[in-house]
Amino acid sequence: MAKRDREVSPPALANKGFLYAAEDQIIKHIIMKGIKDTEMMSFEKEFNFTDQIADDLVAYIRSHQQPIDTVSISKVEGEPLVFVYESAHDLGTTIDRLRDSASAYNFRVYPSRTLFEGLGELSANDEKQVVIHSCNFKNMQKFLKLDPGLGVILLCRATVIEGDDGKVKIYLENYMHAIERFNNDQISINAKELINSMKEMVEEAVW
Amino acid sequence: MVIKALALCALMLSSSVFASSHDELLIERVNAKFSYTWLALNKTIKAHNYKAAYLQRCDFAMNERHYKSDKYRIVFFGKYDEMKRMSKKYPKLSPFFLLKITVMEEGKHTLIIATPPITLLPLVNTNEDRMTVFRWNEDMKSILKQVKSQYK
Repeated sequence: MAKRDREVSPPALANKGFLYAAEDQIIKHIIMKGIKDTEMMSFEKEFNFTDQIADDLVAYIRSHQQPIDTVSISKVEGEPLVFVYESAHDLGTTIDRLRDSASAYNFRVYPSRTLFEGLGELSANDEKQVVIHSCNFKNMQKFLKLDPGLGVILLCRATVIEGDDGKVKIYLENYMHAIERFNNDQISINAKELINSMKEMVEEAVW
Repeated sequence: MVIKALALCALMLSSSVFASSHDELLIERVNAKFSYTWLALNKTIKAHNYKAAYLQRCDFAMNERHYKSDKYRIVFFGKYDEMKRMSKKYPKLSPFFLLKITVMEEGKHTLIIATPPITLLPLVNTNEDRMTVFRWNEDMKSILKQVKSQYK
C-alpha cells in the first residue's frame, strides 16, 4: 500500500483565488484551530494565540492580498454553481422521464447509480438519491480535441433526490465554472451549448 | 516568541491551505502507462482513507461509436458517513459527489485530473464544514502528487 505522505506545494500566501473566496473568520479559524490531519496545527493550542493575535495575523495576510483578476471571474459572475429543478413527478417517474429526455437529445444514458454506491452498506434513504450519467459522444469528442483536461467534466450528470418532504429535485452542476479554468473562448461557447441542452432536457423531464 | 509563531503560522497557512489555486484544475502527467497509473491511483486513494467506490469507463462507449480515443476512465471515491452528512446538510453539494479523478492515457503517459474541491466552498456555511472542504482539497492534491511521484 502506498505510504501516505502529503506533498507540499510551494508557498503561495498571496493565492488570490483562496483569499477572494475565504472570509476573515475562516482564515482566523484555521489559524486558531488548525486543520485535522495536516501539518497546519492549532496555534491556539500550541502557541496560546489569543483572538487579538489571530485578528492581527489575518489583517497582515489581507494586507498582502493581491486584487482578484476581475476579468477571470466576470464570465461566470452571478452564475450559480448548481441549477436546481423541482419535479412535478415522483422519484421513479422523474428518473424515467429524465432518461427519455436525455435520449431524445442524443445523449447515451448510462445505468443509474445511487449517490453513495460502492461506499458500503446503504440505507433505504440512499435509494432516493440517484445519479444519472449521460454523454453526447459528438460533444465529448469535440471537447477532448480542444483540451484533454476537459475529461474532468465529462460525463454529463444529473442528480435526482427525493427529500424528506417527498419533493423530488434535480441538481445540475453549472459547468461554466469548471470551464472557466481553461480560459478558452471556444470551450466556453461549447460548454454553454452543452449546459443549455442539459437544462432543456431537465426542464422537459420535470414538467 | 510571538513573531516566530506568526512566521511559522504564515508558512503553514501557505503550505496547507493557500497552495491550491482556487481557479486552476488539478492535473498531473504520470510517467507511466494507463494500467500502472490506475493501480497506483487505487492504492493511493485507499492510503488516504477513502474508499474507491466505482469506476466509469468512458472509452468503451466512445470506441463503440468508432471515435478514436485513448483510455479514459473516471474513478469515484469518498467516505460514506462524511459525504452523507454533508449532502444531507447541503443538497447542492450532491452533483459533486462522490469525489472523482479522471484518468486518461496519452501516449506513454497518463493524465490524472481533478477539479479542486475548494471550489465547493461557497456551498457550505460553517467553519467545520469549510474545514472538511479544505481537507478534501488537500487530500486530492496529495493523491495526485503521490501517484505522479511513484513513476518519476
